[in-house]
Amino acid sequence: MVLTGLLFLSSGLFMGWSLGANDAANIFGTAVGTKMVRFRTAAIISCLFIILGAVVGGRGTTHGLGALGAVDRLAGAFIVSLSAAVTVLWMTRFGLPVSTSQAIVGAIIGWNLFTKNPTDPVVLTRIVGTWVYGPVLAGIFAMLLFLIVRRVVNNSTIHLLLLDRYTRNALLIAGAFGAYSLGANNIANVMGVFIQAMDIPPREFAGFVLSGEQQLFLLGGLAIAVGVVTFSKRVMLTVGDNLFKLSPVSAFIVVAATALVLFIFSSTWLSDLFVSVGLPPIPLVPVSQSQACVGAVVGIGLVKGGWRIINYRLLGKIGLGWVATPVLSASLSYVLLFFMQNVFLQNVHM
Amino acid sequence: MKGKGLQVFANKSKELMENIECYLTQVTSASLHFDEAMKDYIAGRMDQFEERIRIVTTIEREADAELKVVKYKLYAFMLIPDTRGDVFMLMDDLDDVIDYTKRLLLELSMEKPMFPEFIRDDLSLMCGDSVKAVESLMLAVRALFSQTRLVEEHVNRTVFYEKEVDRIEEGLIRRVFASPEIPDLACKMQIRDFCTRIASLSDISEDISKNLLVYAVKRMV
Repeated sequence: MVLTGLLFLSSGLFMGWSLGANDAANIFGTAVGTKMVRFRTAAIISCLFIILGAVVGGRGTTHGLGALGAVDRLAGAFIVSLSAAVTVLWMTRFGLPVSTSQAIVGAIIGWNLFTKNPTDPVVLTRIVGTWVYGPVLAGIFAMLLFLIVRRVVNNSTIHLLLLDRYTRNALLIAGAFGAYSLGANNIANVMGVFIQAMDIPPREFAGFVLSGEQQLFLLGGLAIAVGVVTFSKRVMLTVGDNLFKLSPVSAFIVVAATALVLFIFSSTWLSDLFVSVGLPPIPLVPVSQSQACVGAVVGIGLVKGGWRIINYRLLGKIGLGWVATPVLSASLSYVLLFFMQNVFLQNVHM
Repeated sequence: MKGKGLQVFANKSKELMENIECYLTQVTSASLHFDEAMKDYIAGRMDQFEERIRIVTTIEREADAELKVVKYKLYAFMLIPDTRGDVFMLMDDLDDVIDYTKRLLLELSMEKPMFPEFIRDDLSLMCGDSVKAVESLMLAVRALFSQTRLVEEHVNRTVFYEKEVDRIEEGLIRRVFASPEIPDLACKMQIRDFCTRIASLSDISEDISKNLLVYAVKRMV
Protein backbone atom coordinates (compact mmCIF):
# COMPACT_ATOMS: atom_id res chain seq x y z
CA MET A 1 0.00 0.00 0.00
CA VAL A 2 2.82 2.37 1.00
CA LEU A 3 4.78 1.30 -2.08
CA THR A 4 1.76 1.98 -4.34
CA GLY A 5 1.33 5.37 -2.69
CA LEU A 6 5.00 6.22 -3.25
CA LEU A 7 4.80 5.01 -6.86
CA PHE A 8 1.88 7.33 -7.56
CA LEU A 9 3.60 10.14 -5.66
CA SER A 10 6.73 9.74 -7.81
CA SER A 11 5.46 12.19 -10.45
CA GLY A 12 4.97 14.84 -7.74
CA LEU A 13 8.40 14.11 -6.32
CA PHE A 14 9.90 14.43 -9.79
CA MET A 15 8.13 17.77 -10.12
CA GLY A 16 9.63 18.80 -6.75
CA TRP A 17 13.11 17.72 -7.81
CA SER A 18 12.80 19.72 -11.04
CA LEU A 19 11.57 22.78 -9.09
CA GLY A 20 14.53 22.54 -6.69
CA ALA A 21 17.03 22.14 -9.52
CA ASN A 22 15.74 25.15 -11.47
CA ASP A 23 14.08 27.64 -9.15
CA ALA A 24 16.68 27.67 -6.36
CA ALA A 25 19.02 29.09 -9.02
CA ASN A 26 16.78 32.16 -9.30
CA ILE A 27 17.32 32.78 -5.59
CA PHE A 28 21.05 32.25 -5.18
CA GLY A 29 22.26 32.21 -8.81
CA THR A 30 24.06 35.56 -8.78
CA ALA A 31 25.44 35.11 -5.26
CA VAL A 32 26.89 31.67 -6.06
CA GLY A 33 27.82 32.49 -9.67
CA THR A 34 29.89 35.48 -8.53
CA LYS A 35 31.36 33.41 -5.65
CA MET A 36 29.98 35.78 -3.00
CA VAL A 37 28.22 32.88 -1.32
CA ARG A 38 29.48 29.30 -1.36
CA PHE A 39 27.19 26.78 -2.98
CA ARG A 40 27.10 24.73 0.24
CA THR A 41 25.82 27.74 2.23
CA ALA A 42 23.26 28.56 -0.47
CA ALA A 43 22.09 24.94 -0.65
CA ILE A 44 21.71 24.60 3.15
CA ILE A 45 19.73 27.87 3.43
CA SER A 46 17.58 27.01 0.40
CA CYS A 47 16.74 23.50 1.64
CA LEU A 48 15.93 24.58 5.20
CA PHE A 49 13.71 27.50 4.24
CA ILE A 50 11.99 25.78 1.31
CA ILE A 51 10.96 22.92 3.61
CA LEU A 52 9.93 25.38 6.34
CA GLY A 53 7.88 27.44 3.85
CA ALA A 54 6.23 24.32 2.42
CA VAL A 55 5.24 22.85 5.79
CA VAL A 56 4.26 26.12 7.52
CA GLY A 57 2.81 28.18 4.67
CA GLY A 58 1.89 25.74 1.90
CA ARG A 59 -1.76 25.43 2.83
CA GLY A 60 -3.08 28.61 1.20
CA THR A 61 -1.96 27.98 -2.38
CA THR A 62 -2.85 24.30 -2.17
CA HIS A 63 -6.43 25.16 -1.33
CA GLY A 64 -6.42 27.84 -4.04
CA LEU A 65 -5.39 25.22 -6.60
CA GLY A 66 -7.85 22.69 -5.14
CA ALA A 67 -10.70 25.12 -5.87
CA LEU A 68 -9.95 24.71 -9.59
CA GLY A 69 -10.36 20.96 -9.48
CA ALA A 70 -10.19 18.58 -6.55
CA VAL A 71 -8.37 15.55 -7.95
CA ASP A 72 -9.77 12.80 -5.72
CA ARG A 73 -7.98 9.62 -6.83
CA LEU A 74 -4.29 8.85 -6.51
CA ALA A 75 -4.04 7.53 -10.09
CA GLY A 76 -5.63 10.75 -11.37
CA ALA A 77 -3.30 12.89 -9.24
CA PHE A 78 -0.32 10.91 -10.57
CA ILE A 79 -1.32 11.59 -14.18
CA VAL A 80 -2.08 15.28 -13.54
CA SER A 81 1.31 15.78 -11.91
CA LEU A 82 3.11 13.70 -14.56
CA SER A 83 1.50 15.67 -17.40
CA ALA A 84 2.60 18.94 -15.84
CA ALA A 85 6.16 17.63 -15.30
CA VAL A 86 6.45 16.29 -18.86
CA THR A 87 5.11 19.59 -20.26
CA VAL A 88 7.73 21.52 -18.28
CA LEU A 89 10.43 19.15 -19.54
CA TRP A 90 9.34 19.48 -23.20
CA MET A 91 9.03 23.23 -23.15
CA THR A 92 12.37 23.61 -21.40
CA ARG A 93 13.99 21.43 -24.08
CA PHE A 94 12.57 23.72 -26.77
CA GLY A 95 13.87 26.76 -24.90
CA LEU A 96 10.42 28.22 -24.19
CA PRO A 97 9.83 30.05 -20.90
CA VAL A 98 7.72 27.68 -18.88
CA SER A 99 6.10 27.78 -15.48
CA THR A 100 5.29 24.76 -13.34
CA SER A 101 2.29 26.71 -11.99
CA GLN A 102 0.80 27.11 -15.46
CA ALA A 103 1.55 23.50 -16.33
CA ILE A 104 -0.24 22.17 -13.23
CA VAL A 105 -3.25 24.45 -13.85
CA GLY A 106 -3.48 23.11 -17.41
CA ALA A 107 -3.20 19.51 -16.20
CA ILE A 108 -6.00 20.03 -13.65
CA ILE A 109 -8.22 21.50 -16.37
CA GLY A 110 -7.41 18.39 -18.44
CA TRP A 111 -8.59 16.28 -15.49
CA ASN A 112 -11.76 18.41 -15.20
CA LEU A 113 -12.48 17.90 -18.91
CA PHE A 114 -11.86 14.17 -18.73
CA THR A 115 -13.99 13.65 -15.61
CA LYS A 116 -16.63 16.13 -16.81
CA ASN A 117 -16.04 18.09 -13.63
CA PRO A 118 -16.99 21.76 -14.32
CA THR A 119 -14.14 24.30 -14.22
CA ASP A 120 -15.17 27.34 -12.21
CA PRO A 121 -14.56 30.32 -14.55
CA VAL A 122 -14.25 32.70 -11.57
CA VAL A 123 -11.49 30.59 -10.03
CA LEU A 124 -9.78 30.17 -13.41
CA THR A 125 -9.90 33.91 -14.11
CA ARG A 126 -8.47 34.58 -10.67
CA ILE A 127 -5.59 32.16 -11.28
CA VAL A 128 -4.85 33.42 -14.79
CA GLY A 129 -4.96 36.96 -13.42
CA THR A 130 -2.10 36.15 -11.04
CA TRP A 131 0.06 35.11 -14.02
CA VAL A 132 -0.13 38.74 -15.12
CA TYR A 133 -0.17 40.36 -11.66
CA GLY A 134 2.83 38.29 -10.48
CA PRO A 135 5.46 39.70 -12.86
CA VAL A 136 3.85 43.16 -12.88
CA LEU A 137 3.82 43.31 -9.07
CA ALA A 138 7.41 42.00 -8.94
CA GLY A 139 8.38 44.75 -11.37
CA ILE A 140 6.72 47.42 -9.21
CA PHE A 141 8.34 46.08 -6.02
CA ALA A 142 11.72 45.95 -7.75
CA MET A 143 11.34 49.56 -8.94
CA LEU A 144 10.45 50.77 -5.44
CA LEU A 145 13.21 48.74 -3.79
CA PHE A 146 15.71 49.90 -6.39
CA LEU A 147 14.83 53.57 -5.80
CA ILE A 148 15.16 53.13 -2.01
CA VAL A 149 18.45 51.17 -2.23
CA ARG A 150 19.87 53.64 -4.76
CA ARG A 151 19.05 56.57 -2.49
CA VAL A 152 20.55 54.88 0.55
CA VAL A 153 23.72 53.56 -1.11
CA ASN A 154 24.53 56.57 -3.29
CA ASN A 155 24.04 59.08 -0.47
CA SER A 156 25.55 57.07 2.34
CA THR A 157 29.06 57.31 3.74
CA ILE A 158 29.23 53.57 4.41
CA HIS A 159 32.73 52.33 3.67
CA LEU A 160 33.03 50.24 0.52
CA LEU A 161 34.23 47.24 2.50
CA LEU A 162 31.34 47.40 4.95
CA LEU A 163 28.92 47.84 2.08
CA ASP A 164 30.43 44.69 0.60
CA ARG A 165 29.68 42.85 3.86
CA TYR A 166 26.15 44.26 4.11
CA THR A 167 25.40 43.29 0.51
CA ARG A 168 26.41 39.70 1.17
CA ASN A 169 24.29 39.54 4.32
CA ALA A 170 21.36 41.13 2.48
CA LEU A 171 21.71 38.49 -0.25
CA LEU A 172 21.65 35.72 2.35
CA ILE A 173 18.59 37.15 4.15
CA ALA A 174 16.73 37.81 0.87
CA GLY A 175 17.71 34.29 -0.25
CA ALA A 176 16.28 32.75 2.92
CA PHE A 177 13.06 34.75 2.46
CA GLY A 178 12.98 33.78 -1.23
CA ALA A 179 13.40 30.10 -0.35
CA TYR A 180 10.64 30.29 2.29
CA SER A 181 8.26 31.99 -0.17
CA LEU A 182 9.14 29.50 -2.91
CA GLY A 183 8.36 26.62 -0.58
CA ALA A 184 5.12 28.19 0.63
CA ASN A 185 3.90 29.21 -2.81
CA ASN A 186 5.10 26.47 -5.13
CA ILE A 187 4.58 23.41 -2.92
CA ALA A 188 1.04 23.35 -4.32
CA ASN A 189 2.53 22.56 -7.75
CA VAL A 190 4.40 19.63 -6.26
CA MET A 191 1.92 18.12 -3.81
CA GLY A 192 -1.32 20.08 -4.26
CA VAL A 193 -3.05 17.53 -6.50
CA PHE A 194 -2.37 14.68 -4.06
CA ILE A 195 -4.02 16.31 -1.03
CA GLN A 196 -7.61 15.23 -1.82
CA ALA A 197 -6.50 11.86 -3.13
CA MET A 198 -4.62 10.70 -0.03
CA ASP A 199 -5.88 10.25 3.46
CA ILE A 200 -2.89 10.37 5.80
CA PRO A 201 -3.34 10.34 9.59
CA PRO A 202 -1.52 13.00 11.68
CA ARG A 203 1.94 11.97 12.94
CA GLU A 204 4.41 13.34 15.42
CA PHE A 205 7.82 14.44 14.13
CA ALA A 206 10.46 15.71 16.57
CA GLY A 207 7.86 16.98 19.01
CA PHE A 208 5.63 18.53 16.31
CA VAL A 209 2.34 17.02 15.23
CA LEU A 210 2.08 17.22 11.45
CA SER A 211 -1.26 16.81 9.70
CA GLY A 212 -1.51 14.51 6.68
CA GLU A 213 -1.35 17.57 4.43
CA GLN A 214 1.80 18.82 6.15
CA GLN A 215 3.43 15.39 5.85
CA LEU A 216 2.90 15.57 2.09
CA PHE A 217 4.33 19.10 2.08
CA LEU A 218 7.34 17.84 4.04
CA LEU A 219 7.87 15.08 1.48
CA GLY A 220 7.50 17.57 -1.37
CA GLY A 221 9.88 19.96 0.39
CA LEU A 222 12.43 17.16 0.71
CA ALA A 223 12.08 16.40 -3.01
CA ILE A 224 12.74 20.08 -3.77
CA ALA A 225 15.73 19.97 -1.40
CA VAL A 226 17.12 16.93 -3.26
CA GLY A 227 16.78 18.94 -6.49
CA VAL A 228 18.67 21.82 -4.89
CA VAL A 229 21.49 19.60 -3.64
CA THR A 230 21.89 17.40 -6.70
CA PHE A 231 21.39 19.66 -9.66
CA SER A 232 20.99 23.35 -8.86
CA LYS A 233 24.74 24.17 -8.71
CA ARG A 234 25.13 23.94 -12.47
CA VAL A 235 22.01 26.06 -13.03
CA MET A 236 23.20 28.62 -10.44
CA LEU A 237 26.55 28.99 -12.19
CA THR A 238 24.72 29.45 -15.51
CA VAL A 239 22.45 32.12 -14.04
CA GLY A 240 25.42 33.85 -12.38
CA ASP A 241 27.69 33.81 -15.41
CA ASN A 242 25.72 33.71 -18.61
CA LEU A 243 22.06 34.61 -18.73
CA PHE A 244 21.24 37.97 -17.18
CA LYS A 245 24.29 39.29 -15.39
CA LEU A 246 23.14 41.16 -12.31
CA SER A 247 25.24 43.13 -9.89
CA PRO A 248 25.03 41.80 -6.31
CA VAL A 249 22.86 44.80 -5.28
CA SER A 250 20.48 44.25 -8.22
CA ALA A 251 20.41 40.53 -7.44
CA PHE A 252 19.30 41.34 -3.89
CA ILE A 253 16.50 43.55 -5.23
CA VAL A 254 15.32 40.91 -7.73
CA VAL A 255 15.32 38.14 -5.11
CA ALA A 256 13.55 40.32 -2.50
CA ALA A 257 10.89 41.57 -4.97
CA THR A 258 10.22 38.05 -6.27
CA ALA A 259 10.04 36.65 -2.73
CA LEU A 260 7.56 39.37 -1.74
CA VAL A 261 5.29 38.48 -4.65
CA LEU A 262 5.40 34.75 -3.88
CA PHE A 263 4.82 35.49 -0.20
CA ILE A 264 1.80 37.72 -0.93
CA PHE A 265 0.17 35.06 -3.12
CA SER A 266 0.66 32.37 -0.48
CA SER A 267 0.04 34.11 2.84
CA THR A 268 -3.33 33.23 4.38
CA TRP A 269 -2.53 35.67 7.19
CA LEU A 270 -2.14 38.57 4.76
CA SER A 271 -5.26 37.59 2.84
CA ASP A 272 -7.27 37.45 6.11
CA LEU A 273 -5.86 40.86 7.03
CA PHE A 274 -7.08 42.24 3.69
CA VAL A 275 -10.55 40.86 4.34
CA SER A 276 -10.63 42.22 7.91
CA VAL A 277 -10.04 45.77 6.62
CA GLY A 278 -12.74 45.43 3.96
CA LEU A 279 -10.48 44.69 0.99
CA PRO A 280 -11.01 41.72 -1.36
CA PRO A 281 -9.05 38.58 -0.39
CA ILE A 282 -5.72 37.88 -2.08
CA PRO A 283 -5.96 34.97 -4.53
CA LEU A 284 -3.78 32.31 -2.92
CA VAL A 285 -2.43 30.45 -5.92
CA PRO A 286 0.99 29.29 -7.06
CA VAL A 287 2.67 31.88 -9.29
CA SER A 288 5.68 31.47 -11.54
CA GLN A 289 8.85 32.42 -9.71
CA SER A 290 10.88 32.66 -12.94
CA GLN A 291 8.37 35.05 -14.50
CA ALA A 292 8.24 37.14 -11.34
CA CYS A 293 12.06 37.30 -11.61
CA VAL A 294 11.80 38.52 -15.20
CA GLY A 295 9.27 41.13 -14.03
CA ALA A 296 11.67 42.31 -11.33
CA VAL A 297 14.60 42.55 -13.77
CA VAL A 298 12.41 44.54 -16.18
CA GLY A 299 11.37 46.80 -13.26
CA ILE A 300 15.00 47.63 -12.48
CA GLY A 301 15.67 48.13 -16.18
CA LEU A 302 12.77 50.59 -16.43
CA VAL A 303 14.16 52.72 -13.60
CA LYS A 304 17.64 52.60 -15.10
CA GLY A 305 16.98 53.00 -18.79
CA GLY A 306 13.29 53.60 -19.50
CA TRP A 307 11.01 51.69 -21.86
CA ARG A 308 13.69 51.23 -24.52
CA ILE A 309 15.38 48.41 -22.61
CA ILE A 310 12.34 46.12 -22.69
CA ASN A 311 12.90 42.97 -24.68
CA TYR A 312 9.49 42.65 -26.33
CA ARG A 313 10.53 39.34 -27.90
CA LEU A 314 11.02 37.82 -24.45
CA LEU A 315 7.70 39.26 -23.26
CA GLY A 316 6.05 37.78 -26.35
CA LYS A 317 7.57 34.39 -25.55
CA ILE A 318 6.28 34.59 -21.97
CA GLY A 319 2.80 35.50 -23.28
CA LEU A 320 2.98 32.53 -25.67
CA GLY A 321 3.94 30.35 -22.68
CA TRP A 322 0.80 31.51 -20.82
CA VAL A 323 -1.30 29.96 -23.59
CA ALA A 324 0.90 27.09 -24.83
CA THR A 325 1.81 25.63 -21.41
CA PRO A 326 -1.71 25.05 -20.05
CA VAL A 327 -3.05 23.94 -23.45
CA LEU A 328 -0.24 21.40 -23.90
CA SER A 329 -0.48 20.25 -20.31
CA ALA A 330 -4.30 19.92 -20.42
CA SER A 331 -4.17 17.92 -23.68
CA LEU A 332 -1.48 15.59 -22.34
CA SER A 333 -3.36 15.15 -19.07
CA TYR A 334 -6.58 14.27 -20.95
CA VAL A 335 -4.83 11.67 -23.15
CA LEU A 336 -2.86 10.09 -20.29
CA LEU A 337 -5.95 9.93 -18.06
CA PHE A 338 -7.72 8.06 -20.86
CA PHE A 339 -4.87 5.52 -20.99
CA MET A 340 -4.70 5.20 -17.21
CA GLN A 341 -8.41 4.50 -16.99
CA ASN A 342 -8.86 2.29 -20.05
CA VAL A 343 -5.51 0.55 -20.44
CA PHE A 344 -4.22 0.30 -16.85
CA LEU A 345 -7.78 0.05 -15.49
CA GLN A 346 -7.18 2.51 -12.67
CA ASN A 347 -9.94 4.84 -11.48
CA VAL A 348 -8.82 8.42 -11.99
CA HIS A 349 -11.82 9.95 -10.24
CA MET A 350 -14.56 9.04 -7.78
CA MET B 1 29.03 31.33 18.77
CA LYS B 2 27.22 32.87 15.81
CA GLY B 3 27.67 36.33 17.29
CA LYS B 4 31.37 35.64 17.68
CA GLY B 5 31.58 34.57 14.04
CA LEU B 6 29.97 37.82 12.88
CA GLN B 7 32.32 39.75 15.17
CA VAL B 8 35.32 38.11 13.47
CA PHE B 9 33.97 39.17 10.05
CA ALA B 10 33.43 42.74 11.20
CA ASN B 11 36.95 42.89 12.69
CA LYS B 12 38.50 41.58 9.47
CA SER B 13 36.70 44.27 7.45
CA LYS B 14 37.86 46.93 9.91
CA GLU B 15 41.42 45.55 9.79
CA LEU B 16 41.43 45.78 6.01
CA MET B 17 39.98 49.30 6.17
CA GLU B 18 42.82 50.32 8.51
CA ASN B 19 45.44 48.71 6.23
CA ILE B 20 44.07 50.55 3.20
CA GLU B 21 43.96 53.84 5.14
CA CYS B 22 47.57 53.33 6.26
CA TYR B 23 48.62 52.65 2.66
CA LEU B 24 46.82 55.76 1.36
CA THR B 25 48.52 57.87 4.04
CA GLN B 26 51.90 56.55 2.87
CA VAL B 27 51.14 57.54 -0.73
CA THR B 28 50.14 61.05 0.38
CA SER B 29 53.24 61.35 2.61
CA ALA B 30 55.53 60.31 -0.23
CA SER B 31 54.10 63.02 -2.50
CA LEU B 32 54.41 65.69 0.22
CA HIS B 33 58.04 64.71 0.90
CA PHE B 34 58.65 64.81 -2.85
CA ASP B 35 57.40 68.41 -2.89
CA GLU B 36 59.67 69.38 0.00
CA ALA B 37 62.62 67.52 -1.56
CA MET B 38 62.16 69.46 -4.80
CA LYS B 39 62.10 72.75 -2.91
CA ASP B 40 65.34 71.73 -1.16
CA TYR B 41 66.98 70.75 -4.44
CA ILE B 42 65.97 73.93 -6.24
CA ALA B 43 67.19 76.00 -3.29
CA GLY B 44 70.46 74.07 -3.25
CA ARG B 45 69.95 72.56 0.24
CA MET B 46 71.50 69.25 -0.76
CA ASP B 47 71.80 67.75 2.74
CA GLN B 48 68.08 68.20 3.40
CA PHE B 49 67.37 66.91 -0.12
CA GLU B 50 69.33 63.69 0.52
CA GLU B 51 67.54 63.29 3.86
CA ARG B 52 64.18 63.58 2.08
CA ILE B 53 65.24 60.85 -0.37
CA ARG B 54 65.98 58.57 2.58
CA ILE B 55 62.54 59.32 4.02
CA VAL B 56 60.78 58.67 0.70
CA THR B 57 62.78 55.43 0.24
CA THR B 58 61.65 54.25 3.70
CA ILE B 59 58.02 55.17 2.95
CA GLU B 60 58.21 53.32 -0.35
CA ARG B 61 59.54 50.19 1.38
CA GLU B 62 56.86 50.32 4.08
CA ALA B 63 54.15 50.97 1.50
CA ASP B 64 55.26 47.91 -0.48
CA ALA B 65 54.92 45.78 2.66
CA GLU B 66 51.50 47.30 3.42
CA LEU B 67 50.38 46.73 -0.16
CA LYS B 68 51.18 43.02 0.16
CA VAL B 69 48.99 42.81 3.27
CA VAL B 70 46.18 44.75 1.59
CA LYS B 71 46.27 42.49 -1.48
CA TYR B 72 46.22 39.35 0.63
CA LYS B 73 43.33 40.57 2.79
CA LEU B 74 41.38 41.79 -0.24
CA TYR B 75 41.33 38.26 -1.57
CA ALA B 76 40.78 36.69 1.83
CA PHE B 77 38.01 38.91 3.18
CA MET B 78 36.38 40.93 0.41
CA LEU B 79 33.37 39.29 -1.17
CA ILE B 80 32.18 41.10 -4.28
CA PRO B 81 34.70 39.98 -6.91
CA ASP B 82 34.15 42.96 -9.18
CA THR B 83 34.73 45.52 -6.42
CA ARG B 84 37.67 43.51 -5.12
CA GLY B 85 39.27 43.59 -8.57
CA ASP B 86 38.79 47.35 -8.82
CA VAL B 87 40.30 48.02 -5.38
CA PHE B 88 43.18 45.67 -6.20
CA MET B 89 43.95 47.55 -9.43
CA LEU B 90 43.66 50.91 -7.69
CA MET B 91 46.10 49.93 -4.95
CA ASP B 92 48.56 48.69 -7.57
CA ASP B 93 48.25 51.93 -9.56
CA LEU B 94 48.91 54.02 -6.44
CA ASP B 95 52.10 52.05 -5.90
CA ASP B 96 53.29 53.55 -9.19
CA VAL B 97 52.96 57.04 -7.66
CA ILE B 98 55.29 56.23 -4.76
CA ASP B 99 57.73 54.33 -6.97
CA TYR B 100 57.83 57.21 -9.41
CA THR B 101 58.50 59.91 -6.81
CA LYS B 102 61.33 57.84 -5.33
CA ARG B 103 62.88 57.12 -8.72
CA LEU B 104 62.67 60.76 -9.78
CA LEU B 105 64.36 61.97 -6.61
CA LEU B 106 67.11 59.34 -6.97
CA GLU B 107 67.69 60.38 -10.60
CA LEU B 108 68.00 64.00 -9.50
CA SER B 109 70.46 62.94 -6.83
CA MET B 110 72.54 60.97 -9.33
CA GLU B 111 72.42 63.30 -12.34
CA LYS B 112 72.33 66.59 -10.40
CA PRO B 113 71.01 68.79 -13.25
CA MET B 114 71.64 72.54 -12.91
CA PHE B 115 68.42 74.56 -12.96
CA PRO B 116 69.17 78.18 -13.93
CA GLU B 117 67.73 80.99 -11.81
CA PHE B 118 65.18 82.16 -14.39
CA ILE B 119 63.24 78.87 -14.38
CA ARG B 120 63.31 78.13 -10.63
CA ASP B 121 60.03 79.85 -9.73
CA ASP B 122 58.14 78.11 -12.51
CA LEU B 123 59.83 74.83 -11.68
CA SER B 124 58.66 75.13 -8.05
CA LEU B 125 55.18 76.02 -9.25
CA MET B 126 55.14 72.98 -11.55
CA CYS B 127 56.30 70.68 -8.73
CA GLY B 128 53.60 72.16 -6.45
CA ASP B 129 50.85 71.62 -9.03
CA SER B 130 52.04 68.05 -9.71
CA VAL B 131 51.77 67.32 -6.00
CA LYS B 132 48.34 69.01 -5.89
CA ALA B 133 47.26 66.64 -8.67
CA VAL B 134 48.37 63.71 -6.48
CA GLU B 135 46.57 65.19 -3.45
CA SER B 136 43.32 65.59 -5.41
CA LEU B 137 43.73 62.03 -6.63
CA MET B 138 44.08 60.83 -3.05
CA LEU B 139 40.91 62.71 -2.05
CA ALA B 140 39.13 61.03 -4.96
CA VAL B 141 40.42 57.63 -3.82
CA ARG B 142 39.14 58.22 -0.28
CA ALA B 143 35.81 59.40 -1.69
CA LEU B 144 35.51 56.14 -3.64
CA PHE B 145 35.58 54.25 -0.36
CA SER B 146 33.06 56.32 1.55
CA GLN B 147 31.44 59.13 -0.50
CA THR B 148 31.27 58.03 -4.09
CA ARG B 149 29.33 61.08 -5.23
CA LEU B 150 32.37 63.29 -4.54
CA VAL B 151 34.77 61.24 -6.69
CA GLU B 152 34.00 63.18 -9.88
CA GLU B 153 34.65 66.53 -8.23
CA HIS B 154 38.10 65.45 -7.02
CA VAL B 155 38.89 63.84 -10.36
CA ASN B 156 38.06 67.15 -12.08
CA ARG B 157 40.56 68.88 -9.80
CA THR B 158 43.21 66.29 -10.68
CA VAL B 159 42.61 66.87 -14.37
CA PHE B 160 42.75 70.64 -13.82
CA TYR B 161 46.16 70.46 -12.10
CA GLU B 162 47.47 68.14 -14.78
CA LYS B 163 46.55 70.70 -17.44
CA GLU B 164 48.20 73.47 -15.39
CA VAL B 165 51.37 71.39 -15.12
CA ASP B 166 51.36 70.79 -18.89
CA ARG B 167 50.99 74.51 -19.51
CA ILE B 168 53.88 75.41 -17.18
CA GLU B 169 56.03 72.59 -18.59
CA GLU B 170 55.60 73.83 -22.15
CA GLY B 171 56.52 77.42 -21.18
CA LEU B 172 59.54 76.21 -19.24
CA ILE B 173 60.92 74.09 -22.08
CA ARG B 174 60.42 76.91 -24.61
CA ARG B 175 62.29 79.33 -22.38
CA VAL B 176 65.10 76.87 -21.71
CA PHE B 177 65.72 76.28 -25.42
CA ALA B 178 65.40 79.98 -26.26
CA SER B 179 67.76 81.07 -23.50
CA PRO B 180 71.37 82.07 -24.30
CA GLU B 181 72.19 81.56 -20.57
CA ILE B 182 72.44 77.80 -21.18
CA PRO B 183 74.91 77.43 -24.04
CA ASP B 184 75.22 73.65 -23.95
CA LEU B 185 72.52 71.71 -25.84
CA ALA B 186 73.10 68.66 -23.64
CA CYS B 187 72.24 70.77 -20.55
CA LYS B 188 69.09 72.08 -22.24
CA MET B 189 68.05 68.55 -23.08
CA GLN B 190 68.76 67.35 -19.57
CA ILE B 191 66.63 70.18 -18.07
CA ARG B 192 63.86 69.45 -20.56
CA ASP B 193 64.02 65.81 -19.64
CA PHE B 194 63.59 66.56 -15.93
CA CYS B 195 60.76 69.02 -16.60
CA THR B 196 58.97 66.27 -18.52
CA ARG B 197 59.61 63.72 -15.75
CA ILE B 198 58.30 66.04 -13.04
CA ALA B 199 55.20 66.74 -15.16
CA SER B 200 54.71 62.99 -15.61
CA LEU B 201 53.74 62.70 -11.94
CA SER B 202 50.54 64.61 -12.70
CA ASP B 203 50.03 62.51 -15.87
CA ILE B 204 50.17 59.35 -13.75
CA SER B 205 47.67 60.89 -11.32
CA GLU B 206 45.35 61.80 -14.18
CA ASP B 207 45.49 58.29 -15.64
CA ILE B 208 44.65 56.74 -12.27
CA SER B 209 41.84 59.25 -11.71
CA LYS B 210 40.24 58.30 -15.04
CA ASN B 211 40.17 54.64 -13.96
CA LEU B 212 38.81 55.79 -10.62
CA LEU B 213 35.84 57.44 -12.34
CA VAL B 214 34.94 54.10 -13.92
CA TYR B 215 35.18 52.35 -10.53
CA ALA B 216 32.95 55.06 -9.02
CA VAL B 217 30.32 54.72 -11.76
CA LYS B 218 30.31 50.95 -11.20
CA ARG B 219 29.83 51.47 -7.47
CA MET B 220 26.87 53.83 -7.87
CA VAL B 221 23.56 51.94 -7.83
